[in-house]
Amino acid sequence: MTRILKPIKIDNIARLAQICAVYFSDQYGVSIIDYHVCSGDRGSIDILATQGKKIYLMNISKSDFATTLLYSFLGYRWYQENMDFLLRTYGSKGLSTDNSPVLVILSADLDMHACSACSDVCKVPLQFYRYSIFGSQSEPEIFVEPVGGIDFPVQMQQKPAEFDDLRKELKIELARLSDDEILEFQDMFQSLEDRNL
Amino acid sequence: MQESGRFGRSLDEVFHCFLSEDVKREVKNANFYADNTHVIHCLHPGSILIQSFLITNLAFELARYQLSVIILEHMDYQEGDVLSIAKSLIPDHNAFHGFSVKINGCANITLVDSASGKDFRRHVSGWFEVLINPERFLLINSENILENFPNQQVPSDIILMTRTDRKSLLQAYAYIKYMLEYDTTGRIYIVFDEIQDEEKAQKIFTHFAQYIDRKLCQTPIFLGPLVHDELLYRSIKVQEPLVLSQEDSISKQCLMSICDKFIMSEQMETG
Repeated sequence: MTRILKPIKIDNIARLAQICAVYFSDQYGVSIIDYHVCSGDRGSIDILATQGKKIYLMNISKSDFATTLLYSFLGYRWYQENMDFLLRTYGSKGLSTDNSPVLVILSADLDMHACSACSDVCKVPLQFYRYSIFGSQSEPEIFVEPVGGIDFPVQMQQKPAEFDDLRKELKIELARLSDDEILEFQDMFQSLEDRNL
Repeated sequence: MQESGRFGRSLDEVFHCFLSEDVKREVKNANFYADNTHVIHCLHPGSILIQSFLITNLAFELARYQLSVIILEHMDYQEGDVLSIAKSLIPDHNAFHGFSVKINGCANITLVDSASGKDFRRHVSGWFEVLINPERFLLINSENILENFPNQQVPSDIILMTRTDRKSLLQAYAYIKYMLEYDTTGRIYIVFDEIQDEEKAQKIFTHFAQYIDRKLCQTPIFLGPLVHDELLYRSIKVQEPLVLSQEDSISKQCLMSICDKFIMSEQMETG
């Protein structure tokens, strides 16, 4: 007998944010800085997270796509306007002026063409994820898939042996670049690519 | 109050009289490098052929500006060296380990083909000791092995050519970092190879230069992109420098622009 799992709905956004945060933390090595940094008419940042030289402003969809997008943009503007305050508050948790912001939108229902159009138009990098939650309210299991082809940088998961191989391939062993230096450089290059350069 | 005349000579003016011969020679050499000779390492970690191509064409452009040039070549193999780029201008290149090219109205270009297998750094230093002519530019074309660079006894500037993909730029960054560990006095010029869009090249350079400035406290100078086109490949094939070609092309314009920026920058530095 085939058993078909049906996704469940979690209405508690705080609980949903925690489930998503655990997923991104485990899957991509993202460090969570704080939850619900900004909400209401000022915009929405449900999860503030960092990875390398990027800062991720994550927004979980609470209504239709257009409203979610608008609140995400307003959240980004709030982040820019309150940078000094945020640096004082979260400076010790890895937030810095060197971080380049990335907007992340999570939704149970996303249209691929709309996501792609937004990524083309926006100056700030956008990443879209469709999520489904299975299991039960007490033991939920999340399934996440990127929409639009842009995902977290995979080089964050590079192993030390891969760095050694890279140094050998480029014949730069004598320069003694550390793994962190290579990662930092790759982040710099990634931000170049994000700007379509 | 009127300034009174100075009696006697200062220590700076007389100290040479009291120095040993070895120290005198070191002082003389140091002054000589600083005043008369520009030592330029040209590197392209991704392509020896394009590296030699740039050096050859740069030498002819310098000669056009009446600046004498010596090219010191140090290769273990003959494929893609300066000789193979400018062979059509050399009547019998097998006869000597060195030769001179003189084109009407231009300064002299001398190529010294150093024997491979020797210690490269020692070879360059030794070569300087016999350099007594007022040659202005010494262009060094060697294999891109980090061990070869830099040479602490010979202060030099660097033209670093790189492509703009992730690995190539990381490699260029590593080269710059390694060189700056030994010599922070020389200038670093950057040329982006095989990039079509000049505006894009400028943006990438700005980003790259800011990163180098922040991490290594050095500001590189951008000479521009080198676009590849049919004329560039033909120039290599017929073994004739592109700058001598009568035809106009994007690659030739890029090359002329690179050379002009380089010469202007070197002249501004020396006044």
